[in-house]
Amino acid sequence: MTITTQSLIRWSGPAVIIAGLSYALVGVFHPPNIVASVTTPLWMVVHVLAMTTSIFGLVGLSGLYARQAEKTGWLGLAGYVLLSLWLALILGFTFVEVFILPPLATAAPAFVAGWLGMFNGTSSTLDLGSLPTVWTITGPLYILGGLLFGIATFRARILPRWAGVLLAVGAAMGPVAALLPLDLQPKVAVPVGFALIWLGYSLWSERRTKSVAPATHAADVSGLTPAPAV
Amino acid sequence: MITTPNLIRWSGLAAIAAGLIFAGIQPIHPADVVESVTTNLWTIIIGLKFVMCLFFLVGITGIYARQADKAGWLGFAGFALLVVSWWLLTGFVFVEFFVLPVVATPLPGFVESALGVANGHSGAMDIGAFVPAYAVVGVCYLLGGVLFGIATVRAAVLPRWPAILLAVAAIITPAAALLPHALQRYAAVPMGIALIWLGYSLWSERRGKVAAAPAGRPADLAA
Repeated sequence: MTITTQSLIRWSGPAVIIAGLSYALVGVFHPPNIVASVTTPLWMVVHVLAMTTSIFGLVGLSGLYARQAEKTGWLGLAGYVLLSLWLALILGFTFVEVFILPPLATAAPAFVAGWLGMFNGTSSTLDLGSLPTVWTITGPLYILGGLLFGIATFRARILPRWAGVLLAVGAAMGPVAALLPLDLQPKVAVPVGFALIWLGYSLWSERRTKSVAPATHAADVSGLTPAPAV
Repeated sequence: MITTPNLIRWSGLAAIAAGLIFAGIQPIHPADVVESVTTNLWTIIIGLKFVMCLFFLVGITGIYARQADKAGWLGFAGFALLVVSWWLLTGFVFVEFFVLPVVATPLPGFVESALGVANGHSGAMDIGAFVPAYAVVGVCYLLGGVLFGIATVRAAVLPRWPAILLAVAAIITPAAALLPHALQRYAAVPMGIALIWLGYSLWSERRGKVAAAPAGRPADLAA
């Protein structure tokens, strides 16, 4: 099988599905942000899943965006860039939660408690420098990125419009988390996770005739057999 | 106008930026010691490294997408390994940038151990999976670079010399471990140059060639 730009974009569908699924699972199973959690197996599993969201999200979102780039214009590009930045920063935070917090839970509980304080609202005894600010920035990146990318997807009419709406609404619901009790807060991830699964599945399952058509470089087209109409 | 070929072309600029930072910071990179992490130079250099990682991911995606149909599974494997390597590296750089300066005073032992993954001296504190994770970065960087370089040469879409340089730069990286740490850094320079070169060729491809492609579906063009 030849790898064409179209099949690459199509294959990014499963990546988006994995990102969405892992993100929804993180939302459902995230343990409370307390020092006692960080040495549990559940903590490890959930944060490895969150790292999975970031790598598959970064790759998959590129495909999701490339599929509809021409139609979504600057709105889509802005949403794509903001969401990618969010995924990159989330990688940093989850990387620390997987690799740094567990070994430090005994050696430096004050650091771990201070770190978790960024999420559960308690103040840190240790000066965390710019970290709390960066964590705060991830909020608007996520909300604006999801909102813009969702609206752009809705307007582009290439992928299911309602998946775009779900993404936009799910991301916009982010601040609602602050009103929920601590243990329910991660659940706000679930609608966005479903929106991603939906978008990824439609990217993957688009009728091949539709997605295989043009989009290769003129010079490459000679080797391409037109796909039969289904 | 935002079209797939144009996006791919613009990603060349990201590759150039990543390559410039990667090669450019090596001569002025502060020593990987506890005293360095609270200096301004550390903040600047490591901040640039974080940006470099993001640009690399965008750039390599574009370089791969441009030649995906010719680079085959070898190219895909190289691309996937490079993405894993630089994605994980982004996590390490995040720690160097945001965490190490904060804990340098209360936890110098931890900082020493964390820097040990880069400078080869294992610190006193056990830092768990942090060390093997860095080995994964190294293996993926090496294998990914070699496979991606070979695939790029065989695809013959982009110039072959930067592709050969990419593969060779990846191979010599472990050999650099035989050198003193201060010199090891310079193994990054040929890799940076290869990225700049590939990025530039992606960016400067004759517009006629790239833009001529009908990049939208018929349905899109009609609208």
